[in-house]
Amino acid sequence: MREKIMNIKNEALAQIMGAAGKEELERIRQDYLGRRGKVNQILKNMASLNEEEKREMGRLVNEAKVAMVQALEREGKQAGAKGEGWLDVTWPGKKPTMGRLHPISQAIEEIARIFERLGFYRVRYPEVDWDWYVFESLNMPPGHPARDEWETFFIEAPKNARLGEMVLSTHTSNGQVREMERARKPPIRMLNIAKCYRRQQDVTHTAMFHQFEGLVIDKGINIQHLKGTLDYFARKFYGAGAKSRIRPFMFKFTEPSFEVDFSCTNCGGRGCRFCKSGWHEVGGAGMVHPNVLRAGGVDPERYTGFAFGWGVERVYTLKPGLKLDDIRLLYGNNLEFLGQF
Amino acid sequence: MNILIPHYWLLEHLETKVVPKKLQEYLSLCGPTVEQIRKVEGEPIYDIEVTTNRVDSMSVRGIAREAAAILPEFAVKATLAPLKLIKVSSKRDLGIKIENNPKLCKRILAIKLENVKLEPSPKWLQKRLVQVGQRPLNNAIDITNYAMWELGHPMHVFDWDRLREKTIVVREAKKGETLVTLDGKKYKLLGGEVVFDNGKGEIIDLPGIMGTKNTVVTDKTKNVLLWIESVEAVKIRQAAMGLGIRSQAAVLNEKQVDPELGEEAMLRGVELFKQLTEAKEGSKLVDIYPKRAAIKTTLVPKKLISVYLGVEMKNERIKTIWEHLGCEVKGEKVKGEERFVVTPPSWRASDLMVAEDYVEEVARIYGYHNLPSKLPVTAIPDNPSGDNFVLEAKVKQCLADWGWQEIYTYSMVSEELAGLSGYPVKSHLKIKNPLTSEWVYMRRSLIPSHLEVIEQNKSQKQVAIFEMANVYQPQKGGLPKEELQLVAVTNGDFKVLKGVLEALLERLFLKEKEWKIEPIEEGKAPFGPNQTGQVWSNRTCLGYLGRVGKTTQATYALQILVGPLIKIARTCPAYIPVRNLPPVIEDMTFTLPEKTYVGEVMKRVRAVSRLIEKVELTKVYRQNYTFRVTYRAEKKSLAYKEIKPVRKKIAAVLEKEYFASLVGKI
Repeated sequence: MREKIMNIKNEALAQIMGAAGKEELERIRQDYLGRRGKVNQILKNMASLNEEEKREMGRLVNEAKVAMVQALEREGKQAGAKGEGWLDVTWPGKKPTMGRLHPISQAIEEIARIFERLGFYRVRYPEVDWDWYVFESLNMPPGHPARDEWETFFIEAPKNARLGEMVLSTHTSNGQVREMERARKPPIRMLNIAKCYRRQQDVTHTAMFHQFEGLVIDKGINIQHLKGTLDYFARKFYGAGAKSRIRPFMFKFTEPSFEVDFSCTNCGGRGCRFCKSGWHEVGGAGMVHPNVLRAGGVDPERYTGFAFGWGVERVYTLKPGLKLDDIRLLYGNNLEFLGQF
Repeated sequence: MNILIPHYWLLEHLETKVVPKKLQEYLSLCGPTVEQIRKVEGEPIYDIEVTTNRVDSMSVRGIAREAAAILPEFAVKATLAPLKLIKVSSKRDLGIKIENNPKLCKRILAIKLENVKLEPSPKWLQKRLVQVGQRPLNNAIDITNYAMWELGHPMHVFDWDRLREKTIVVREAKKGETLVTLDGKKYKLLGGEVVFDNGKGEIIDLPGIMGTKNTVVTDKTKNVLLWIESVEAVKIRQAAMGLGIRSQAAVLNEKQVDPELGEEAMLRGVELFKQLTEAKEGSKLVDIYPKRAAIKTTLVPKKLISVYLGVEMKNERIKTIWEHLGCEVKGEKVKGEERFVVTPPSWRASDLMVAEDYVEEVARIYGYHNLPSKLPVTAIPDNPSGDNFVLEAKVKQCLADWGWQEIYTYSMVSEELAGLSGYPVKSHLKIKNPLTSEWVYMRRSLIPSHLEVIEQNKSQKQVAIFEMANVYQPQKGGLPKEELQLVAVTNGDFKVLKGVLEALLERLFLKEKEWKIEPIEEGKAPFGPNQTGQVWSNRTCLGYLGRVGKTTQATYALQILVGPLIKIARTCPAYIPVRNLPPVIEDMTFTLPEKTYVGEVMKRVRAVSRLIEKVELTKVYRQNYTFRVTYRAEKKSLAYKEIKPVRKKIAAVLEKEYFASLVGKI
């Protein structure tokens, strides 16, 4: 009898130690300590023993029971760690090596996608271009004061008799007449995103920067269409509540000319420390000047058009929550900085 | 150009009750932008941006004129106050011989003022000048600045007695002549500047830009010559830019100040001189005005207004807008087409030239904010340019996804970086007027810029960067060739860089056999000798890869021409049926002589038999290379004995062609 009790106890403890999970432990508990379990079977057999033997055996059975219960409890706690039923979701993950697109590339892709939906197609024109395309064909003859706005880099190269000096294009507008020449005939819905260069470097200007230029030419294009396009862009780029507005300005290559503002994403246009008036100026726009249409071989009697050109850096830094106030950082190539984008 | 206008000064010319905040809003929406309202001594001062075509707005009265046209559109009462001017009664001769050249100077106004009492200006005038950013000097000088600010025409005051020869000749300067301006700076003239000569060859003024030291008023001045001239704007600009003098007078005069304004400004000046210096009229007011500029009348078809604005406006409304701006307007109907005959006021004559200019005036005063916002519904064009921007973006995205950081470096480089490009510095496009010595040449290689970035980011243990940007190859007599390159540089493992190229080409659905790398022993700077590979696809060179730079830490670069890459790229693979037959995979280890190009060896193995599907390099120990060869037949399972002869052939070929000895037995 004594031997039998010891065997049952050892057998149970071995099974408990080797159990593969909580379910198995429960089954073991039923087998040994359940109502019809092995321990109760033994107690039933004790009826034939004398009192002294009964007391002795009772003590042994009790010891065995306690040992089993304790073992079950201990193993039950650890079962999760070993078994399938438990996963440490707080364990630090193992990231893939993360590369990133430069913020300017991200902005360019986003801008291109927005305008693509409106039927704009992208083009590419020279960064190093002739004065004719950069200024003169845009209604700005050499020496005109309007050119002062563009701090121009000149290239050491012989002048072209017809097209003038070689310069680094100060804006993407050099694509306007080039696109009219390429397309030959409206409709035109160009999106020209390119590197531009101006001779200035400070918190809000870098000598190399990016612009995106839209040019739409067709019959019956008017100021309302420009406004619609700007509003569409504002909503898609800054969020549903964003608005645009245009105010009078002067560019020689557009008539009328506008300055374009987008509502402040920080205060929703109510006016805050960040924007002062509720609006942020992003750049220029206008109805294409008839002289520019003529320079591109388009008949201004039949066609009208609008154009806009803004800095990618400028529109990007106005993104809600970005808080980037020095655009030189974009070209500083500090990898810790770029790693955040 | 910006101008500061105190609110209370503006109200002397504009009768209105508008509050500054509202005036700022309305002007900005329909006219010049009021960038901010500054508070100086508790008084609001407008900081207004005036566009270069609107020099007529560069004065207190000019802004008042604009405001008087704009405010009523917002239901705010505003009228331009009449300008009260004095009359000159003296009939005395000026006593100065003026020889004008009408080609250089359109108008001259002059008057002698006697017994001028020079002293500091009164407080109220000093305050106004300070508020608009001008420095008060003495009453005589301050009056000229004050009148200019108020009415928009620059003027000058000479010391009458210092004009010894009593002669003023208008002429062009000769190259090399010199003058000293009133601020004591000496200038050597470039030739062609309009100057005043005293009749004996001495320059006594740089008109329209700045007075000269030899004739300007001093502490001892008793009599003055108050003077206004209208020098040709182009001449002013050439001189002011050429000599680098950006005085307020030059800034205005180079933009064609209306000569008609001269008389008003002159009379205001005389009035102030009498008031503040106790001066007496010393002569009549001389006015040399050989030819009034013709004012161009423009025909504006009514239709043009609806074409641009997309709304129909009543004739009366259109007329009123133009009239508020000072135009004369007549409506007419020719062959059933309504149109307007519009004549601008003299101060807008050089700015309102074509019908579209008048459309702009109607549109802005009507208010751009009042126009609806609509998307264009015209036909969507279908003539795309040749560039595939989508694939370019895909290439960049691939690299970023594979752990590479994209960077943007400047296209302009220093002489030092240009010298590291592998091309002589001389063969770079050079900027004539660089901003700093860092940016002088248009680069021919991105790699030196990238090595610099790695150097700048020393704190990072391992760097893997890339960029897609143009390089610029000068062309004889034309624009440079702008070539788009993809460059990836790392100071990590070369195999990872090479793997990126392999993965990229696979991603563009190029088959392994469609491209190859050829080692170039002599190198291709900035790639080093014996460490350069040229990437080929058929007969097109796609670029280079290899080791670059002179740093002790090995740095590797990949340089790919984007144009040719995009040209051969596919958007989908040519599908091969999946084979269910099991392959036989075996390893073979060879001892290769040093400096054996292992890629070529593997390619050779691959070519031994059609049964070989794939050859991989699995292990390298010293000169021992283990290749894993995968055999598979198209239609049946391979038996061991079918592979044996192939294996034998591999060993034989490698021994013969590469002096490679097999480790172990076949």
